[in-house]
Amino acid sequence: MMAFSKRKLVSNYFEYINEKNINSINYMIENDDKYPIIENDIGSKIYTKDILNGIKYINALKESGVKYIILDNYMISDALFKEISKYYERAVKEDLSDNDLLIFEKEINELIPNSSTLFFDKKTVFKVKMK
Amino acid sequence: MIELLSPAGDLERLKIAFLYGADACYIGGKDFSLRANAKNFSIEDIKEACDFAHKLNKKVYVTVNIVFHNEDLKGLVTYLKKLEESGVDAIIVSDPLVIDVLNENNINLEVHLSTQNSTTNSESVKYWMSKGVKRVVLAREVTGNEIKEIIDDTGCDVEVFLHGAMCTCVSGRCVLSNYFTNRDSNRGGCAQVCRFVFDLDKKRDIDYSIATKDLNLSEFIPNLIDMGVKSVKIEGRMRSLYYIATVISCYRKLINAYYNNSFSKDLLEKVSKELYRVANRESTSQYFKGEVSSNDQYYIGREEVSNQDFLGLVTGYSDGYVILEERNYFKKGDKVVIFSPEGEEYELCLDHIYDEDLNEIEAANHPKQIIKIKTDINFPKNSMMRVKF
Repeated sequence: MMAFSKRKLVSNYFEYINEKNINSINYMIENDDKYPIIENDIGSKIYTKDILNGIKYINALKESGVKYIILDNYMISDALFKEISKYYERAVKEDLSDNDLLIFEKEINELIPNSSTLFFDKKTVFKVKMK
Repeated sequence: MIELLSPAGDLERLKIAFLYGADACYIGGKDFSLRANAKNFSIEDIKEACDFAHKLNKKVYVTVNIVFHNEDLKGLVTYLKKLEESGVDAIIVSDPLVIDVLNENNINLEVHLSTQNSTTNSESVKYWMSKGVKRVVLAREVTGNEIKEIIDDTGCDVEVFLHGAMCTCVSGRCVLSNYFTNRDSNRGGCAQVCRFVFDLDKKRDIDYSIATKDLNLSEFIPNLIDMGVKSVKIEGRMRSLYYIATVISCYRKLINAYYNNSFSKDLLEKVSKELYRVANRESTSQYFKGEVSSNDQYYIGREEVSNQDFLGLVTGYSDGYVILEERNYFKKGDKVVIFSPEGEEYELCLDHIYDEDLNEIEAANHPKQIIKIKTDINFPKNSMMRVKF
């Protein structure tokens, strides 16, 4: 999830254009990229267009002392999630090489083409400078 | 009296804000502040700002409200010590680590909790008070009733956003900018993705946007004062000199009018017109009356048209001429208004315009050009000339 708003960002729009929304998930589209936006009684959630796949970093996370990882099945079918969970279970429990993890990453990406490492590989920028 | 708190992106704007009626200004230093792209203040500037403010019996607050990553910690202790030495009246923080750093290093700075923390309830306010926070800037999502309940429940000094641009999403919990543009919204780089234009589901001709209209609580000044709000805050550390002068002047008039029992519908209408012109954006009371609706958002992609109302800054008066520094084009025959820091307004017709050497000219069309206008009125320095509307 990228952001949460207390505003009813979808139903307000449909009210504005005088239409009825029939979808449970809508998509904000920019340059053919689709960002799911889901509204419920408490507000609206906006999601990335990608599904996070950080399996190649499992060894690095283990070495850093990370005790738990979280798998989230949101927007992934049960069958697919079961399959992906197996990769992660092996990655956590077995002593695999970084190369093995790269193979797992590739196989998961084939199952979910819109996979991404998101902020694992993307350092954000700003203008706070140290002196 | 309720505090009128102004943004200031640099020393010039800070001084103007105070002259036009702000009781306090919040500013960002070069480091650790959420408007990394504003001009911002060096430590020397901060010291000068504090000295200037304190002579007027006013206050300066410095934002130290980024969400810290480990790499941001370097230099924090030194920076906070310098703020203390500079005489700042409080710092505005979001990350609780700053409170620990103050305590561990015996740095004596009053702490205000930033709206970036999105505080929306009494228990949360009590928690932060127990950590030594003196004032809480409430989340922009709280309603008027909730503001009153929180003040009644906690007795905490509460600061409320009064006017300006709104975040669409919950402040401090949004990474739209990080994702779309790689600019970290919680470390000063917000690219305002919530003002981008999208298509919804690719089925319609009407653009989709999650942009909000601006906040404007001018009509609720009496309510805010009566419910015991300590400080009302104007958004916009990147706003212009003219914007700051106009908005602060408008709210100063409203606040003073309420305390003087002269708050009226006519005054509110006049002020509302000025507030709309200066921002050139629609505004609503947003969450103050309850849930927001479709009326509180913009759906049609709109271009921000820069405001050209600000015609000149008065730099002095000499030998029957008001001396101005030009800011936007004006010409002979134009009708204008000059308003002063004291809140006075005068309408003029520019029958004659002169350059610095008193040569008559047809128009002022060079930014910062020195212009002279003959008038009997001795306009004080820092008065502003604007379009008459």
